Amino acid sequence: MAKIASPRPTGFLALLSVATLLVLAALYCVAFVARPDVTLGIVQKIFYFHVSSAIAMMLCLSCGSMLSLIDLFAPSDRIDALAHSAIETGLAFALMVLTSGPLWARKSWGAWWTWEPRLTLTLMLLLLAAAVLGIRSMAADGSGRKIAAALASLAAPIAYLIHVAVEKWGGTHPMVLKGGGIQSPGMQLTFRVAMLAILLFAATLWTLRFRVLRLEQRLHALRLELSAQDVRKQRPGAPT
Amino acid sequence: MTRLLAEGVGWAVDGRFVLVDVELALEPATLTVLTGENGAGKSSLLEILAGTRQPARGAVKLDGVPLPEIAPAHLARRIARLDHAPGLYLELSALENVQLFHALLHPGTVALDAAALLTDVGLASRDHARPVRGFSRGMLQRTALARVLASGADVWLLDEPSTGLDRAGCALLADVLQRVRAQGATLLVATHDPALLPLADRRLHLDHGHLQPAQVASTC
Amino acid sequence: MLLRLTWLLLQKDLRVAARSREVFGFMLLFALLCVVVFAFGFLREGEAAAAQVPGVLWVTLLFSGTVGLLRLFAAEEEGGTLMLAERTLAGATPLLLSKALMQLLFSGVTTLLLLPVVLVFFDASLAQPAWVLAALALGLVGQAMLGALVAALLVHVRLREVLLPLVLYPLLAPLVIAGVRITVLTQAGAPMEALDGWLALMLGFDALVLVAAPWLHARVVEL
Repeated sequence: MAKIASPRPTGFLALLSVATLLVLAALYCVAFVARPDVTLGIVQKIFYFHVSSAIAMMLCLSCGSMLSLIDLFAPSDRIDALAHSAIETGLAFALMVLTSGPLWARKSWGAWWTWEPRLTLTLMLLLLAAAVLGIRSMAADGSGRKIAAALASLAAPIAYLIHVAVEKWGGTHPMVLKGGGIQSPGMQLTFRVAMLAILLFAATLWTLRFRVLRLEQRLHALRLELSAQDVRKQRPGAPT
Repeated sequence: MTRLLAEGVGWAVDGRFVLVDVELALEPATLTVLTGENGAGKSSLLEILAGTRQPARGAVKLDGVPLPEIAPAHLARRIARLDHAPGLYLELSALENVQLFHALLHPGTVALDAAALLTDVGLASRDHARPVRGFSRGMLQRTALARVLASGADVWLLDEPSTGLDRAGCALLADVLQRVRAQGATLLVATHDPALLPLADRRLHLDHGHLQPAQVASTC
Repeated sequence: MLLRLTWLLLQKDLRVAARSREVFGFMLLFALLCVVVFAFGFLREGEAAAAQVPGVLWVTLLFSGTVGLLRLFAAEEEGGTLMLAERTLAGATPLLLSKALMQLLFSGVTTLLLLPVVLVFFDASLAQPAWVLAALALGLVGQAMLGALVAALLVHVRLREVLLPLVLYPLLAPLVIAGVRITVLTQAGAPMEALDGWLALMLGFDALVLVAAPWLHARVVEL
């Protein structure tokens, strides 16, 4: 059987350490380096983690969808585990975005929720990812993987159409990224550190989940092998 | 040449193996009877041999070609299955069902004389045109047998084909099986019906996930 | 070959539907009921009812379409014919296409019958009927194709009655948003150019699912 995960996950531990340090650094920057926004005040500081989480979510879900498509072309347990863990990580970050989003929206637009295009798209992505994972878990032995892969591959291009639709629908929406808010060097530095920290954090979660899934696959294979040997032993005439 | 060959086939449910190292070679113009306790994996084995279920281990070959490499459509013309579900549209008549499946597998060919086929399996002509929803189990089984005959397949995998058939129906089934065997078809019949056992060229018993020649005359 | 087999299966589905008289009537009844319930929910005194027409129309079609989709493969399951029908000489695609056409037929007739009812109930009239009908046609095609795919994929999945809408509605969001916007814009007398973008979006969606759905379906059902 192929080596699935090394018993000493040095690479993973290194990733974990760097990500941890960077998240701490990002927290420091958010608290002490970046000054509060002139108009929005302290709540603007959510921006640093909110935007980077949104980007991490998009990356994870796009990767998950593409990997699903590859798994449909050329099925492999490794690609399947990669795709599955990517979608799960993307779902976690979608939850993060949808928690930090309303907090910010309440302060800057005066309402917890607005049908702002990006927020709407995130909500739709969350629902889609949850549905795909749900179907995967409900389907019988093995068939769930293919069904989930098919739906996940279709979800990416449709998500793009949802994006187009909600953008057109939203009409004039607040431009958050291009505001004058992050012009100061301190803010820019903080944004870069936070972005890097969250992306590495996402990579860590993804890797962790991937390793767990690979171990599950290995455990499943070992259990199967064991049961095969059980069956062989019970046969009449088998050596005892 | 061996027509249908299973090599080291294994199959698992819920992470446990039911079939392990199954080796089976079926030759043309033979009838093999498969026995085994309930839950021994007979139906699963038939599904794997038919290519509708992917084995966890091993491979099945039709005329030396692994099943996954054969187009499913082509496979459906070569291998016919008769199992617990009748495989019929209940709102359609027996005639319509047989004609439909023939047309799906052999489009563009000469229309089939479905009525003759149905008479052949002992279905009275007054029953040919009414929806099969009202049919008894045995009548459904006869219609399903006609569907298999219409497919023109040369490998027949039958799962308890005598279910619901009366004495005359069983005799008729035996008759049909002998006839297609004489025409060169490969038959594998999973059954406990003593009436079908004498037809067998070979008897196999499925026990603890393993195939072996059956010693006992009948398990029933 | 593909078309011939699709036609064979569609003929069969029509025959089954005509004899069981099952789904279509209930689908229509359910759609009617939806409209009534929406009227309870959205109509207020002193406000023009006509403003609710776009939303009520599209959401009703989305919901009633689900009724048909959940029963689309019922005949195959009952008689155990699914596996047989998937293995025609042209592969599994004729089955999917015939189911999508069946759904399109049902939802199309439902729409034609429903539209006048909604207009009467909500005291409205269509400003530019041609554009609305075009949008409805595009919407129903997309819903039928994508819906048939999801229904086919979920045939053997537990809780599929719950899971089908759960995955289908977010996927259909572009069609619903575009359809409602087109209907709203025509009611408001917007210029034709305002509709172009929305119609293009719906066309893009339909093109995507018409190409992708058969391919994905074949990848999943053919071992």
